[in-house]
Amino acid sequence: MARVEVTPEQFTLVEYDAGVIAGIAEELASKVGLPDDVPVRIEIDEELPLPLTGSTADVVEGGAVLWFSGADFEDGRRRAVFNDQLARAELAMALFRAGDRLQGFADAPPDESLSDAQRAAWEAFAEGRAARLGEFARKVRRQYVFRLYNGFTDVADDAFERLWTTERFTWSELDALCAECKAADPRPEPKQRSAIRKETLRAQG
Amino acid sequence: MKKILPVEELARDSRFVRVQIQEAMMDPRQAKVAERNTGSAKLQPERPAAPDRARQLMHGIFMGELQALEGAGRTTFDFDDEDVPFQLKLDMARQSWDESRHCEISVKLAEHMGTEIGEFSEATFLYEAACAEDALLRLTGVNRALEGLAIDVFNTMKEFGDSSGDPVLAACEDWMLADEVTHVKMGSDWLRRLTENDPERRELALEFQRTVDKLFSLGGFRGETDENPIQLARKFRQMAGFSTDEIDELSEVTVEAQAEAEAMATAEQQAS
Repeated sequence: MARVEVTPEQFTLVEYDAGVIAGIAEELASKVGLPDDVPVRIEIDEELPLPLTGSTADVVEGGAVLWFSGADFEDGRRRAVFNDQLARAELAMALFRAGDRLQGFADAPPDESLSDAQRAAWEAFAEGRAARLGEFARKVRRQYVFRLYNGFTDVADDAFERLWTTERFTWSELDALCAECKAADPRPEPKQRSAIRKETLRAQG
Repeated sequence: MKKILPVEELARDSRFVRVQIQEAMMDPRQAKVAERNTGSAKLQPERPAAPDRARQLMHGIFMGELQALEGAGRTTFDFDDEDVPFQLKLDMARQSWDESRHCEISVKLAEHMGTEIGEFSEATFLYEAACAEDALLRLTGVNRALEGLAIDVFNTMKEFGDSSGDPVLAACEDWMLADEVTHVKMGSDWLRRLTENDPERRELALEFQRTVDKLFSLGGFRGETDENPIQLARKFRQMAGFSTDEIDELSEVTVEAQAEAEAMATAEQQAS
């Protein structure tokens, strides 16, 4: 079973339990096929409420390093309350992505450097696999995010279906798929990236 | 049937969870976030967390449409012909028809974005503004203030649909925006007609509208800077009968509301 460490150990602004989150992550790490000898470090920024969602999944010195906005696990109906279903979906997606970086996606840039289009594609690939494992999945929501960054086109919809239903992909294949979508997308190039980034959200001073 | 239905008695099934707007404003995380660089709050695809900001707003729009339907429907029923002209009630009936169509459109748009009904909490302050016992106050609270907010929200969402290249969102919001301009215009026209010979009453109604407008600015939710997710739609408000002075005044109200909310959040943080 993978060794999981969750920061902070005690939450003060939200009703989250680090032990519960670590337990879910341990179970899911095994389920998504992350090798047992890969340590998992999870950092959750409890200061960020809905709708300020965002996450990163990287591999640093052989370990999975996952960062989440607290909003990712928050129940939309009850302020600052943990939602087990959402947490499972987000953790599964991030663990799949960290696992990918160990196999087939080693040449992918770090999460902070991904374009929104690449991130949306990778998340679709990850959540589709989580769905096939029987985990709670949000296909329409994921497709909306994918369309937002890869275009509201038939080409993008076909690409999404491929990502959602495929079991194996490499970084270069995923990147090529994004390029196909971009070629068919009539919108101008985005001026900046959108996803909540860990670096830009750090408290000042 | 009961007249002036209290907010507690609105019909909702188990999917809906209600919250008080004060809870959101008093959330200690809000003050923490205000100290950070989370990027502009203005709704644009390239802004941080844009998809979830848009999904949450779309759900809020649905809840707003539902309460606007309930509010306009109540106004049709709550006042007798001796209280208000029949033509006014007819306008409210037409508005109820529009709002019910907006509810259906909003549900489909939420589904299009991957949002379930009840995924987010419901704040009922919109309906509460529609509970005034004086028909004139209700008209200014609902048609000028609430529907005015709807103009700002729909225009913001339409622009988001345009800039993100989402043809479904852009077209639907444009259709609904056209209706909202009509609803606000109804309010502007009836306010003028009902107070034609009573400037004192008109001022009282406008004062009530200012109070509701401040509440609807939600501590910086609406305004004219990049820090405001919802942008004041000057052009459409003018089409709906607002004068430039009135829009300028509303702009000042939004700035006041934001400053007050920030002061409250800071005080809350210092106290905790």
